[in-house]
Amino acid sequence: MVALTEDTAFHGVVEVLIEVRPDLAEHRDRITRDTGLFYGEDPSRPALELDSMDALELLSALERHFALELSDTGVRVVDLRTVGDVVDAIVRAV
Amino acid sequence: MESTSTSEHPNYFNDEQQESPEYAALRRNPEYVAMNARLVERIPEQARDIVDIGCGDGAVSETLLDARPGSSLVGVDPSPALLAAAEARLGSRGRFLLGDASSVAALLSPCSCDVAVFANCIHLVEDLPDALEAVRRVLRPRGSVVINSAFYAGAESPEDLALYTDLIAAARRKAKSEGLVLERRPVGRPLSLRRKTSEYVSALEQAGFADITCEEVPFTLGRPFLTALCSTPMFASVALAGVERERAAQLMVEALETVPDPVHVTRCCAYLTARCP
Repeated sequence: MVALTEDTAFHGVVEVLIEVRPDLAEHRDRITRDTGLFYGEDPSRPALELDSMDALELLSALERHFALELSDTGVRVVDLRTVGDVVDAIVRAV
Repeated sequence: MESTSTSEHPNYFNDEQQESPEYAALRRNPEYVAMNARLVERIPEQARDIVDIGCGDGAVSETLLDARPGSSLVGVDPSPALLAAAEARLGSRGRFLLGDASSVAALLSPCSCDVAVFANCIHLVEDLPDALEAVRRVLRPRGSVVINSAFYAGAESPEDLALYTDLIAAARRKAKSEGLVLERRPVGRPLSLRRKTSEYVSALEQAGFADITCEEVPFTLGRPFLTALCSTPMFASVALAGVERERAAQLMVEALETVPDPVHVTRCCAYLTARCP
């Protein structure tokens, strides 16, 4: 399997986020590795304000996009605080 | 309270609404009932003509009628099955009309209501400005709109994310172990479920309402509530997309049974009130 670069993974994760939350498309350029994922996570950090249902859809969409079985990798949503955390988890999993 | 002809309703139904009887367990849940009892407390004492929008099976309608003896109530809901359940529950104590929030202006006479109630359903209203405009038209001067919702951006506690996601991960593992195929396509929940309380306040202001109040009240919800929530299509069909709804709900409930006690989450319910000038 060809290793996934961090940059490719980042862009893939952003695409998946927008698939889950189409309203984020207009803020695409503001999404960085440091962007928080969840609502109320850290008031000082810009967040995408995902809720628990978004988180589940995100996992499912990541599996489809990257052809992964995240449930086999031990990745837990609660360990993913930022977009960068998702990117790192995907790179490790692939 | 006068109503207009109900013989030619538009078809407001969709698949989700036709599945509404699956929400029965949630509606019967004591914590859910308590959430709605707090809503009833916010209805002005002098209100007599009440429209209960999204009345469902009439559970809140019944609470309203018990709390305001002598009042007149019209329940409006887009589900024929739920309206039939409401009629069976309350008989001639109320009148129940087929329609959604935006249709109340066509169903009821102008200035015929003292209060319009949205009991935990405003998050399902897609065109909020249209609905609030319709509500304003049927309210009398100084008439009130009273709303609650436990489904809005910020209703969840971030600390509970682990429970929600671990629960669903367990259900998904069980589904896969049974050979069920999960879809990996975002379900695309309506944006109305993501509104912030500030958006509700703004919409009320823009619809011309005054004296707007908004209070967020935290609730600690235990295993019975979560079991009821797991059994709803809104939750189960998103968590286990691709699995037949009834089986998805069963899997969610079975997964919850594997989570050791204590099981509880904290969720906020937003209560909004406003008056016509």
